[in-house]
Amino acid sequence: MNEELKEEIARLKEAYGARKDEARSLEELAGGPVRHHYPVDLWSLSDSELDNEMGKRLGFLNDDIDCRPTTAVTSHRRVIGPVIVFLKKLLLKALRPYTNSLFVRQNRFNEQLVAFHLASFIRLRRMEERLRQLERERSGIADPGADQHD
Amino acid sequence: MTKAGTSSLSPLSAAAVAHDAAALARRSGPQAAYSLLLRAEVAAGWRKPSLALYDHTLHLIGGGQKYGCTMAQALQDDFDVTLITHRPVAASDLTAWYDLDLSRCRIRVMPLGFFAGDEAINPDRVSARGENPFFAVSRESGNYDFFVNNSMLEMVFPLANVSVFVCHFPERPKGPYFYADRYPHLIYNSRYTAGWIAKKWGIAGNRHIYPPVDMEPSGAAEPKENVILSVARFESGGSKQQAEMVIAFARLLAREPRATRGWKLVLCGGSASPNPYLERIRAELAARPGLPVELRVNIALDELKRQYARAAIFWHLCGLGQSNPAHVEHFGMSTVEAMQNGCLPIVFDGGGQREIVEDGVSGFRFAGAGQLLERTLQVLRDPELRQRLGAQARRRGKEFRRVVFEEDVRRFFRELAARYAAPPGTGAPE
Repeated sequence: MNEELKEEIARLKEAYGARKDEARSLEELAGGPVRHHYPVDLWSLSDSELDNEMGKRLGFLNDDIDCRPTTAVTSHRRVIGPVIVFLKKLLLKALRPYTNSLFVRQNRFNEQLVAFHLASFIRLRRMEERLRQLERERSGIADPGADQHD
Repeated sequence: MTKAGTSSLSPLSAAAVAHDAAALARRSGPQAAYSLLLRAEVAAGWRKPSLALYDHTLHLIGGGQKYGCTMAQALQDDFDVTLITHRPVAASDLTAWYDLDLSRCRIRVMPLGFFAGDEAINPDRVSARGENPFFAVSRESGNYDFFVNNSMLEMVFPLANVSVFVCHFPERPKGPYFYADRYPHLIYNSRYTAGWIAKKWGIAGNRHIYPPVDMEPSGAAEPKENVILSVARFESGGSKQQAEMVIAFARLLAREPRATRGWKLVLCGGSASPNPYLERIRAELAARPGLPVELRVNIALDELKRQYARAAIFWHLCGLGQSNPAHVEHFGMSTVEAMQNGCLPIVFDGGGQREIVEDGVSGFRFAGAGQLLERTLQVLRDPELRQRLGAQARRRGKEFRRVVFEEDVRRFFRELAARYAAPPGTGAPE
């Protein structure tokens, strides 16, 4: 009885293990909806957490400077799908001279915006370091003059 | 938490098991069925429960990693323990770093493609825009009865029957892929940490276990010398404030040359190379030639023990002037190490230090630089007070020994294991 049960459990484990391995998402594995994201409450963050958030988000903006569409042209229709894809590509090609000028302008704008934010970020960091130094001097530990920028 | 325990497995027959597992799989997915089978094996007494302890930085030396490895050592007799990490690390290294016997633990290295080219595995790189690279760890967690996340990595969704999150400090705010609230058990290392877990994540820890500290001298206590000691990593950001210690010590000497005659400051700690903060300390020392300060970087454990044994006073400034709670000591293992060696601690009054040093009983806590100098002068002038508080510090330090930690850990996990091994249907595992 025990052996039979052991064998059955081993067999079932193998079967469900394989199904587990095939699962593509957490929802499939966990057997229900999963909340993945919470909006970051920026007001509740400490200075260094805000600093971290700014750096991280600036990185994302930097990654997205080039806003030209990159996704492949597809169609979900089986039979007429290739025709639709062909027409879409044709349309995109025909409009390219007009869309390109817009994208180039937008890319330039994005680039300037990211550079401006980065400059502000660097200035903020330097000001904070100066403030920290002043606070240290006031508390009587640090020597004046240490760690000055410029 | 999977729903394995909500299904009945009695009578224990092959047909009934297959039926229950199939029903569960239909209702809650394949993981729930698999978890039910895992639990049935343990309930039947066919094997010990398996436990995976996950730490994404196991290959690095650190207090959090020591916490996890000591936990693994304490549990390896009751559980079949596997240490999961992402970068290669040898069991012999862990043994040497933390003086532990992990001979009955396995190590499973799971490389993560997302971080393949990176020097460090930095979870801050993960954003809601992309996939969660730690999904692979979630999937793996479902292959064990127990899953312990010792990484503070809130991006791992637990799929084991029993899941435990160990939090040394909530480093990141609640954001993308936040699953720390999906662990039914949360262990925290200090009340300071527990307060910030509640504040930042809105969840409550349910088990408080202080980190293990084992630095008691093996022989009789040695006579103390006129040494003020600091033991802290030379963090590149300077959060441990050794440069400030040099300046404070120089001021102390200038202010009270008689009381401070014959005293020296010894700064010990580990450092990566290159380290701009260490260079800043060297510059501070170069600017003050003749200042009795010794800098000891990356010294061996034996040498560190000698430093603890001879030092009369211990300074710890971490947290002074900080607005960021993460830069305040979450616990303060080196303070306890010093206390176990009878060093009188004078530490910043904040974070976990408040839970270790009883002000005026087993040391002193200070709120600002002025108070640090005052307290230090007070004990320099009064050898009897120094001796008395040093003895009290030694007594207090014993309360954080490794044996105490291991007993706490075993008690907690044995409670969980007893509930888990009860036949399914008699109580849900968590």
